[in-house]
Amino acid sequence: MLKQYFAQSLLNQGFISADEIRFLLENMEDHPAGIEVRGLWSQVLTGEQIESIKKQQNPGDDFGTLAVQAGYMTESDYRSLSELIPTTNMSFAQGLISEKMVEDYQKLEKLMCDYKTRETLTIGTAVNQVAMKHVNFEEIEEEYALYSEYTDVFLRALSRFLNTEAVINLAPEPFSGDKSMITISQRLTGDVMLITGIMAEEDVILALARRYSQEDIKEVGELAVDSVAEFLNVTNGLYIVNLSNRHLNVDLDPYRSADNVLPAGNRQLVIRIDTVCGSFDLILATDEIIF
Amino acid sequence: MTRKLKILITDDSSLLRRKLRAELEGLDCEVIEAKNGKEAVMECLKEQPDGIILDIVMPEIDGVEALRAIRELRPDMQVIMLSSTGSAANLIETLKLGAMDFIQKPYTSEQIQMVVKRLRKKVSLDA
Repeated sequence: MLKQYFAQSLLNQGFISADEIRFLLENMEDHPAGIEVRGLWSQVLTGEQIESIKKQQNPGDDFGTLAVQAGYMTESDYRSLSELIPTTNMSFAQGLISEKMVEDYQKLEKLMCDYKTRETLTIGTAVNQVAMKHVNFEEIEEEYALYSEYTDVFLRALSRFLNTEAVINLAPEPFSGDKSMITISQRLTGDVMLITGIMAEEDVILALARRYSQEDIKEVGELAVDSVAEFLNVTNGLYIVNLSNRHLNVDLDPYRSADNVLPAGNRQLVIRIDTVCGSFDLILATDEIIF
Repeated sequence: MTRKLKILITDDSSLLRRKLRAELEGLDCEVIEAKNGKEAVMECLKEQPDGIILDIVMPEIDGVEALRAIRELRPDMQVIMLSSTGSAANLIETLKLGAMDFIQKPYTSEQIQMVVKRLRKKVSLDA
């Protein structure tokens, strides 16, 4: 089963709203995961231990040193946690604490434990909920497994290549319509027929492009569109390798892009995704979406 | 004194061409670019590069067709496929057509360094 991200799991449980998630994602870089959250996520420290240190911690005191002195972790644990590169789940957990959306570390620990042990929460669950709400489910019943599997690969690619937590928004608002929208799509052909697309406002395309390319792109031009298209291309390439391992032969077509079009593919499913770069639609269909 | 290794990058993505150019110039290579398979074949004849880095998914003529045409025109040309479509079928087909290597995107700097090293060895630019 494909496991959801922590943020998605909290959204599905109703613990947090889509707006709160968007706020946390947009400000995630302001809250790098501290030793407390790293220790909690790695199960080196308990919520109770962290709270007890916090009570005695004076301004300027190093939390990790106090935890070692208290015997809650070893020097070696402290070093490992310091060197650990925080995952997006950890960064999101830190945001919950820093923005006081979770009252203390014991409560956070409970949320983490629930997330880690909950087996029924999957990407498929979220995709299913989107499908039930926004399309006639029977229309995409045959494609449902394919769309869920692709969405999982896509969300992992966002985390890997753009270093962003990504959450499926189950109650998306329509885009304002004030800004120009760009759609970038790529077709997979062969044993599997699938069109994948990203539709976003210009500023989100620019943010995605900058983050993927690591270039200081100033405007939405060829380089920005190529950057987002390359992200889609690489993601689709990884998906094709998965399919290839199951003896399914699939090729990719060159990407297409268009401004201000309303994607209209057959058996189309539109999934709103919230990320550090802003919100955009992932569009999945069985034939062309840009006309 | 050795001359610079001349490499033709072929990719429809301006981002990829930009990134690869920076990598290769950093490795003291001369770089020329093509945006699709058709341009690649033409540039190959015109510029006589030492090697070609060739994407597969491209408009006009794709990388596999371009590789086929290049092998007919220049059977000795060293071609490295660089593509997102790293399926077994693509790998086998391009290697059968005589590609020197196949790198799946996203590539790493180390992979490009290795390619340049192998190209240098193949074209005997190193003493």
